[in-house]
Amino acid sequence: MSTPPRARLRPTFRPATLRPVLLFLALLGLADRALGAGLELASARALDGEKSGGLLRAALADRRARWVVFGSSRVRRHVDPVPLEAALGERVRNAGCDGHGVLYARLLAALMRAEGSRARSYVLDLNPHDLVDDRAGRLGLFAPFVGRDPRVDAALEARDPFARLKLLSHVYRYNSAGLPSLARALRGGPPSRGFAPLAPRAGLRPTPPSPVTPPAVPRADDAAARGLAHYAAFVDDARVAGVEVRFLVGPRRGGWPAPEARALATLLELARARRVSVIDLRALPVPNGHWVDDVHLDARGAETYSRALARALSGAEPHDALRDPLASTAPPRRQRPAGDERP
Amino acid sequence: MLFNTVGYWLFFAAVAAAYHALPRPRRWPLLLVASYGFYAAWSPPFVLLLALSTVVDWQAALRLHAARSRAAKKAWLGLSLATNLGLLGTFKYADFLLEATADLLGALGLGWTPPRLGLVLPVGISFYTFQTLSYSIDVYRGDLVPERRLGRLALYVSFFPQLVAGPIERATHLLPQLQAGAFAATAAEIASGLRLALWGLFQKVVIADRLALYVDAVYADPGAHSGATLLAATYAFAFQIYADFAGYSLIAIGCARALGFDLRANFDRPYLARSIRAFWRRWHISLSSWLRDYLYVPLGGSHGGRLRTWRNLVLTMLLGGLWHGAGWTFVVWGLLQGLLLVASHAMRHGGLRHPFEGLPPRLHHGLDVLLTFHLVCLGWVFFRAASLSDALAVLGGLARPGVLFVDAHTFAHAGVGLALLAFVELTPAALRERTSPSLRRAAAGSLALLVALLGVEVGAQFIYFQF
Repeated sequence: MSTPPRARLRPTFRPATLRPVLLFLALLGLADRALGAGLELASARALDGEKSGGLLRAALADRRARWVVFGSSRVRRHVDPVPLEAALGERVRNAGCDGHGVLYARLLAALMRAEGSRARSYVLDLNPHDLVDDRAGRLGLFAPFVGRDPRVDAALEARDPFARLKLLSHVYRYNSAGLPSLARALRGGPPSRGFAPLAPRAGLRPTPPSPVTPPAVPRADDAAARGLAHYAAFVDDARVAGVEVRFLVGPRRGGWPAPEARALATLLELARARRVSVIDLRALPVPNGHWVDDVHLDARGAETYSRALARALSGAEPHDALRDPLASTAPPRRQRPAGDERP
Repeated sequence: MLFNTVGYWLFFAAVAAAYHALPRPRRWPLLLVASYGFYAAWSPPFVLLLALSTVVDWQAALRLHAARSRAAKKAWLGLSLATNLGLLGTFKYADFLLEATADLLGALGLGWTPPRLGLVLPVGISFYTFQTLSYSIDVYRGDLVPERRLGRLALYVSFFPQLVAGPIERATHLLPQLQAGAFAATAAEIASGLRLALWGLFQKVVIADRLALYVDAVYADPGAHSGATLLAATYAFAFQIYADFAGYSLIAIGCARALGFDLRANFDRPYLARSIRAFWRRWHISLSSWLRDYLYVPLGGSHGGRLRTWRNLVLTMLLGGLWHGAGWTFVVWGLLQGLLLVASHAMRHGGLRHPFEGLPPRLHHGLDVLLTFHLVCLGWVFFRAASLSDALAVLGGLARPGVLFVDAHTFAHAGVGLALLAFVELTPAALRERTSPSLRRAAAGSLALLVALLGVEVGAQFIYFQF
């Protein structure tokens, strides 16, 4: 290195050296477009599975559904549309997705409306975890839908300051979902109805931790405020579109532990403030043997749960808690004068 | 500013563009400012530590070079060693040593609650400390003429591609490049550097970060998994840590090459090694050669009889283990490496019988590689586990019956990456070098698309950043 070689003394860049670089970038852009289009085709054929985004696409494709039930695995694994349809006389879509919460529901609902969904009623399962983490890091499934709805664009950009730049790549929009989409598309099969009951005691497979590594534990009040804002926006957006919203609270083995019960109470406060009906199935009697773990029911438990939900939605079984959702979690409040809408 | 984030690549693009646009005499100050800026992005106050270490070594080296008496030379070297090792010891080992002392006193019946300093470990301190130490020691040994210009030495210590996780560059290799004043790269070097960095990025985000999802889930609760799952997670970790660190090293080497600098290779297909001794010549080469030249050889190396050699091997690897982290798991890991090296040495020189002696050469070779890989994996259990009890839980649980937890999504993504890695690493280097430019460009484009499609999206920290 003592004597610089002759090549080093030449200028680094000349027009002749830049030409192949530009050509390479142009070809890379074309390849990205072509591969992205192929992935879009495969995705459109994959209408099942969480990782492929197939559940999301199946929900979007189901424009005829009049009732849509949103939530996490407690909806996907517990809510069978068949008894609900029998009781309601209308098409029902289970739009639950394992490991997702209110933010997923909010974006999916927005996309469904943008895609011409005929839903007239949403049921949203209340999830205490939404007040701890809105799971924005798992929203990559919505990347193929960038540009379809401002809420989706905003959510994608909020989770990553470089999202706009990354989303220029059509291949990147299928990041981590491309392979499962291809596998699903090759396997074929009818579109998913959403409901996927758990086998008795099979349990949910342990899920790997989220790819997001949070820099620090988020401040609880920030996370809670964000979660509440998502619930409020879900209700408000639906109402603007003329869709009725109900909240749903399900049972948990041994009852909800204190921190989660407090989070649920906060969500029920929101329901009261926003005048949202609540279907409270916390006290639903479920035999101990129908639980897979503390949170999830097996197929027999799901059957019991779905029948109870069908009765509640059809009005066949009046729910006192529906009238006063806070009755079971907080002492009765003093009646406010009519017209006073303060939360 | 992690290498696997868009932020870093925008930073690098800006620095590289400005670097190549500036006249050559202005290039090194730009690199110095960029390097300090890069480090300040982690934690601005720790820039002072970096500067302190640099200034002390700059002066110590100049003065020990000028000193006439051996005692004076030793005194200046002592100042350099005390400063560098003092900073490293305080920030990295103080709490560990206090706790270890308290445990020892407790075992002797003397209860003592140590104060907890809770110092934050400055990123990369282990790496740049070893780099500055090599500089002072080389000047002391007369292998290197000290750098008179503080700025050039500061750039050697802080050169951003390899500042926070190596490769640990010897002053004898990098400093002359900075002194030569070339500071330029040809278009071919830039292209080759960027291709190398892209290959490193692929290893990090497609293989390492994907496997980490599985490994983290299993190692978080070793008692809850079957032996098959624990074994799969340990194999997965072996490839995770390789792809993570080799990937980092390739990005560092590639970025440096695009700026016109040559950094040493840090890995050479380590899992194809036929013995632990060979493994350590192929794994984290910059550290293992540093330990050999600045610790093992000064201790006497292999020149003092068999027992002395064995002692030196164990001591060197024990300290190598501690270099990785202040924890008992790293102590055990280092000790294990030392003992394995002793066994390897005994087999070569001490008459210990090789387990595969007498087998056909090809089978012998294959079994050697397989055995070495598994011995390395045994060490990785201690390296990865959060505590000694967790490591023992993993080892104890290997015989536990039960089904293998298969995460198809993770395995499929990492599998594509591992298949490509195996293809590249098993292809003879001569064949790789004969590849036509257009094929290289096509490979680079495909890699970029694969990173976009298969990479774990939100960048996880590199494992070696914690050291």
